[in-house]
Amino acid sequence: MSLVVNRLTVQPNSRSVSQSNNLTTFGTGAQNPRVVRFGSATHTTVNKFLLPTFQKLTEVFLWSFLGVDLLCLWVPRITNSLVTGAIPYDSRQDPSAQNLSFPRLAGRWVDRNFMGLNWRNLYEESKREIGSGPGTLAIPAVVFLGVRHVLNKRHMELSYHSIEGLCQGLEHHISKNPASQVHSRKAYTEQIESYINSIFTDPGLRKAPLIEPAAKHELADIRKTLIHILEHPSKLTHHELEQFQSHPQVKAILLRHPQLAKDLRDLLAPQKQAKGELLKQLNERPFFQLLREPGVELQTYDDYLKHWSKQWSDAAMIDRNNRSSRLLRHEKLTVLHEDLQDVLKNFNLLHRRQGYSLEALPGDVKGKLTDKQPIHNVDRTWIRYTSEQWSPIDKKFHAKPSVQKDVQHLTGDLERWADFANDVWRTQGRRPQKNIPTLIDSMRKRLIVQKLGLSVFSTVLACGYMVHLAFWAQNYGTYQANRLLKGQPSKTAKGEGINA
Amino acid sequence: MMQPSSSHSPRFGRQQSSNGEWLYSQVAKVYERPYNLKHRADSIDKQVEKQKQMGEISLFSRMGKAVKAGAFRFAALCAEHDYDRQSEVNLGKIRFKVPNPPKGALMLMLYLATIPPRMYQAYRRGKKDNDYREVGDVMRRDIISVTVFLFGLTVLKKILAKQFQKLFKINLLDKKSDKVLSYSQFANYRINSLSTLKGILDEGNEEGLRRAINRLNDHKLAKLTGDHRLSNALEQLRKRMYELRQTRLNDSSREGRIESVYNAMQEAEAVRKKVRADVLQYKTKHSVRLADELSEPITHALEVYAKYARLPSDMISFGFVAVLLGWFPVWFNKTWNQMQYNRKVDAESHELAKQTL
Repeated sequence: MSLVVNRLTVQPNSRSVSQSNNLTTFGTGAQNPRVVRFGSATHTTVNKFLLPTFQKLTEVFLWSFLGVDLLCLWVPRITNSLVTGAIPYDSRQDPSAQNLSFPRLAGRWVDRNFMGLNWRNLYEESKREIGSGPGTLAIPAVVFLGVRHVLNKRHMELSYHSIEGLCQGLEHHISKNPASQVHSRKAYTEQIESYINSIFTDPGLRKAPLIEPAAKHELADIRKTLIHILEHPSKLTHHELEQFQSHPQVKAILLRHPQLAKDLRDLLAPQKQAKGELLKQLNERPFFQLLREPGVELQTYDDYLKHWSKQWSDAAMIDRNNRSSRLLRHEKLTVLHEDLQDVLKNFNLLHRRQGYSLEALPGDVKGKLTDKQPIHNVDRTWIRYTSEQWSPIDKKFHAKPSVQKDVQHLTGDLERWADFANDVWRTQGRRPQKNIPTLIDSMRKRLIVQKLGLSVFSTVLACGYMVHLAFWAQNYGTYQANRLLKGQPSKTAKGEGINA
Repeated sequence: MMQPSSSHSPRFGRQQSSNGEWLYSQVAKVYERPYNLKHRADSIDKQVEKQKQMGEISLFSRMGKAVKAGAFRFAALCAEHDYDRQSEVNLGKIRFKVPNPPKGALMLMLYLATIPPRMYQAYRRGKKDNDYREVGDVMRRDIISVTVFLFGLTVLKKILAKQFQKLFKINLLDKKSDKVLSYSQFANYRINSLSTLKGILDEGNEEGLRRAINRLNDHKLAKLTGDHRLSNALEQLRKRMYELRQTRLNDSSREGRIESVYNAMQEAEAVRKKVRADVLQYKTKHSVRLADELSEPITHALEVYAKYARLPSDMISFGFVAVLLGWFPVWFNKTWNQMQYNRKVDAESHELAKQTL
């Protein structure tokens, strides 16, 4: 077995308990390790609670919306609604309470004050606030979920730009290639593959080595170990997996691939039922597949992108006739989308300054970067597919050779657009007389119209719900918040309790 | 702006089919409207800037054009109806995506479909006992809260981030787009290479980096165990940073000093890794805790510092919005109604006293 596999057989730390309990053995400190305490409550609160919470609240629209709605609207309004118009109980003004013992008086005081709270107002406010915030999101979510799962049209969720850009890009790509005239599934898949591969325009990305040359000799070992892990997962112990993960080269790879690192960490977790699923997912990852295939050499990011494009087009073209194939297709595309995201972001982290030198960029981009280059590009990459360039002359969008695009949006767009690529082929099967570019053009236009229809439908439905909610929530005959102001003022309220 | 050329045309010079062409072109116009309006606002701004430089514009005219540009931007916001972004909800086994309603649709839902029906219902209820105070309550409460809900947090966050970036001496806003950098975007402040460090310093984050380095500590390792390796490495890094701070921007030695800071950082990072590995050898509760504390790479110091610098602005803006959205309108309505009612009671008792006399 190779070097790394041999390392896996090394036994865990065999120090005695008394030695391992003594933290001071690797220094000359004199303090008792039993009283050693690291970190502080503030540090832990900030790092483990506040930062992740606010990161989610500010970056994910859903959490931001619900967070503001829950903490800033529900809590203050609902708590206030209970005390607004509440009838306070004053035992000094209650003749029937004069002869009561202290415990009974206290009991009556609590009971009357509790019953005197404005419960009807609370009910009204709760209905209104709880229904309005999440309802705004729930209606479009239900509509789009239906479209996604029932009609299998995830490309409906693409933006107008992305639909125009990707579809026109493919149409153009196929039109200029004579192979497009061949009406075979294989030829069409190859066209999609070459188109997807061509959209990544960053020359820096294409040239950069995927793994440092100095560490290449260790790849064979890693490959063998990986095959061992993937083929015999049950035979590997927790410690062996840990050893594999701590191998310097594997660590270097994982540093560039946080998602993979997370998966491996999960693999090390004690829940064994999830292991099989995670191993399956790892098997699907192009990066790991490259490691597994002896014929494929990991040279540059260019190799990776070619391999990724092939896998993507194969996954996109899987038939969606039955549920199992749909699920398989969805799983594959999700894994590919996460993998690409990791790889592109990590490329930016390692090479962005060198990779984004002015000389390396396409001609039309050079002119725009006369100032200092922006440093905030870890989550962006150069691509060619969108028609994002707005022309003030004819007031239309035009295709550009290269634009900067958010990596997460790019991979998400590609994941959804796969349905369109698949639909084109299915429609072509039904209408063989039409050539593919014409078909793409007509389907793109139809999609744009359908998308607007769906958006309008979602908004109108949500508006209808909000109107209905207002009538349903405010259905009491009177306004409960001002109930005291209609009869006796609160300062003269007697001890009649809720009957006042 | 780039001139559209025939080779870059989205139509690619192909003949369009007439089937459904009209409907498609009308729909495309709907999608393109926000960009058209934004472009008009931008061109007004450019025009004003040009006239300002030439001294050909009065204050009154400038104000008028600013209002016009603002109106175009607002109209562009209202015209956003493309459901194109999703938020992913990941609750373990349950994973689903929720589309984020665009600003235009949200405004429609909240301003037109929420406030008027609530006001109408309040009016109907008020008609019964001739008391229309609820209509005012709804207007005060909902118009304030919907406006703050839709626009407040973004504006506040930006204002506060501008103040906090001056305080913490680190860029919290993207210089190009003038948008607040997200927590994930702070990954840009990881110092993975010398050129990255140069880039970070060029953007004016030198003082922030110095403070971030000063915040680094060995988590009481030297004091508790006598292991001074990490504290010495960090001390070296601080010295190199101090030397860099002493050099002027145009100084020829600056490049070398930046390199020495980078090298010191790499050395400190190597020491941290080694110390952490040593600590992990001892599988006690405390050593695991210490290893956890030492897990943050030295090269991420500025990223962590930037997150700390942004956190207070988020907390303040969130708290402020909570007060402005939830507490203030309710408190104001309560106080206002009580004041009106007391005034009415006083007037009535005054009238009664007059009649008695």
